[in-house]
Amino acid sequence: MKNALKAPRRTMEKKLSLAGLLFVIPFFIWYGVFQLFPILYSFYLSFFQWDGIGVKEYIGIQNYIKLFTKDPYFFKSIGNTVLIMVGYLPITLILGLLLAILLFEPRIRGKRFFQTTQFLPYIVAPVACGLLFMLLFDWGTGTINQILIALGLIEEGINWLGNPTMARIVLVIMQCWRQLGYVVTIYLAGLTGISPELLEAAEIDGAGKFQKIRYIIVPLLKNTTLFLTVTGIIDGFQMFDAPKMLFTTGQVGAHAGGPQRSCLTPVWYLYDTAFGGNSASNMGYASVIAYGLFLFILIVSIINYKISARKGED
Amino acid sequence: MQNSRMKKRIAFLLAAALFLGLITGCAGDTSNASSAQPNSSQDGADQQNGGEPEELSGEIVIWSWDEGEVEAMNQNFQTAYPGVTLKYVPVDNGNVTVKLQIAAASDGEFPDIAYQEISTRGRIFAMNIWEDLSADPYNFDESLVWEPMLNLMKTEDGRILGIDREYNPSGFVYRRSLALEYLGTDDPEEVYALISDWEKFVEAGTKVKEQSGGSVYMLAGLDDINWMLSGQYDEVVFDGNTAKLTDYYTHVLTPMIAIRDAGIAGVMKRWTPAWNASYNDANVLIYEYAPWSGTAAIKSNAPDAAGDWTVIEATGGPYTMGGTAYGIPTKAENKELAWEFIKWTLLTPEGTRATVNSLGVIAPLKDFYNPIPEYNDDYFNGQDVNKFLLETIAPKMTLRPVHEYDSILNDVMSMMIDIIQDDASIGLEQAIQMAIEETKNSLPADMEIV
Repeated sequence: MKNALKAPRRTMEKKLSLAGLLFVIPFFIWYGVFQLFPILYSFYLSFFQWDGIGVKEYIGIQNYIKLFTKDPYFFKSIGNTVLIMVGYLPITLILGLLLAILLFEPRIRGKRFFQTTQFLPYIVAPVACGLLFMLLFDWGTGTINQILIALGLIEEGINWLGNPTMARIVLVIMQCWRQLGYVVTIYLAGLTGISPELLEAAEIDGAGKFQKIRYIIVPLLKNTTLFLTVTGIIDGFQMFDAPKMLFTTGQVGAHAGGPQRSCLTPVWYLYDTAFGGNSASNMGYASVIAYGLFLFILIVSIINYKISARKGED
Repeated sequence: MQNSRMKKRIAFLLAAALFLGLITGCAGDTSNASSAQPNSSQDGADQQNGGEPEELSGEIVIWSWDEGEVEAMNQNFQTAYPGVTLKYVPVDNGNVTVKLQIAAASDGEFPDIAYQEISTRGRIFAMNIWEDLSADPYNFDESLVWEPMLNLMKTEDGRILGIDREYNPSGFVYRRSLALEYLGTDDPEEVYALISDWEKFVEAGTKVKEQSGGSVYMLAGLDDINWMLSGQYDEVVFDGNTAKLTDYYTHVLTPMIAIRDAGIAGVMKRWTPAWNASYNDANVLIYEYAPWSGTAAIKSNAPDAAGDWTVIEATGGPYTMGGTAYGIPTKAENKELAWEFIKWTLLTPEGTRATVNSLGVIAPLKDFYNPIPEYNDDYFNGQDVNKFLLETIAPKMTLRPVHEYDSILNDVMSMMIDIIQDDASIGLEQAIQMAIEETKNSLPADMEIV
């Protein structure tokens, strides 16, 4: 009798596990082909000198030695990215939080509309974004210079995209514009998790708006902030298409990295090395750049985690 | 119970469909595969020698960034080869080398013809993925085309890896109304006399700047003479393992620094929206001019400025600017048909006539210009521009051979222009040293720099 009951259950379990397998197999095939294989293959390539067409020449760890001791651009690109991130990350986090708090107010009219539209820049394609900012900040005919001249703030146009410092400022502004919507949305989600009774109790106790933000909202959104910081850093190190469009649109043969390579990012450098840009391509060395970047992001993430964990213990 | 069974079946079918979709999505696309299928398939000799045009059929896949051009060439070609069509595959100019590399690295599909733009031609040739058109079965006859062009189509060891679609002896074009107002004359000989060397050019530019109060520039930007100065340098830069950079950068940077110091150039980069707008805004006196500039730059950007332009020799001498060659990859499926297209379009009188009419270029077939067909264009105030370019500029032109590191020179100069424009304190010697240092970073470590 028991066996008679067990048999249908086992059949059912087999059917369910088969269906489950069928659902997950596509993902694993996709992951294996498009994620795992490229990761492993590029590690293999990093020990070769190869232009992508001719014969691969095994050179051992020479590429790694070159990257960490002789490369003129790798650490520059990391430094550029850190500088740009230090510019836009705090601004987007602070501004994003304040905007989210504002948009969370029940008394704001049309807040659904604002909550939706503030997200739009995030979904603008990076290519379009780069082109848009290139037009806005053009030295001669850009809208920004025209406005500043019309307001009498400057007499002649600022060379936004030709000066290294100004170019970084433009990139910071562009990243703020792009990322703000996403940050606000995540913070809005975080705010829904804060119990309204806490805020009401604080109000009854005489807490003002600023005090509620400082002593209740910010501490309770700590994990959200940590998440946004870590993902912001990882995203920052993957910056490529927007700065590339900003500095190379319409120019055949334009060099990588903007003025004096001040906006060269590691991924842009990787792309330029892999596909030649204007110099000979080197797939092997591009693979090493990818792994160098991976190591750097790993170290930063570990440090970030340890600092957060220590603060959590405190 | 039945609902639950139905849901499970639907879930199972969805999973299976997803799985199958993944597999079929990974399959290669064979729809682009083209094959030449001559009617007389037994006659290999006919095919090698081209066969009769009416007998050939098939599809030639072309990687290009200009659909209109390919369509025009397709219509022209079909007047002689009715059974053959050109299939346009859009590949952006900046992505041709990337796509070719990816195709080579992944053993993917190649086109039958790929465009080889001049700015990356040396690098493209160095990929070694091209048919040698000087060898069998193509046996390209070098004597058919203008001699200076050969250096742009050949490798160091003499192989012809592409046939240039156009011959581009180049000079300057100036705006007559601005010349009359600020230089006191719009006569081409008198204008040229005022800018015949770089010292005079700077003097004339200073006069324009002073009289216009700075609202009119002699040049749109230093980028406007970058390609010209590079093209005017006719000595070999990369000779074996030696890079003669000092002389090259001295040649290119000397006039640029002088122009920058005089403040007579704008800050626009070529082909940017601001540069395009300057044609219509009439705030720039002189631009570079190649035979294709009329269509690609002047008429498209200044449609209402007919009659206000004249072409003259450039300061510093003749040069070539731009240019696209047709090359046949070794892994092309339809090499014979591709060669038929190139031969007819560029190397026969009939095809050349159609090409010139469609594209407005100076064709490579030199006998087509014996005598030079009349070419009058409203835009150039009645000047026969082609005659001027071919009789006055072209005979003086010598071009250095293309090299795979040419694009490094362009890359560095693109950066140097930003640097010297941004920082007026950088003098000539410092700029030359910076350019050399930057170039060294991209060259092989064992290359000798002089």
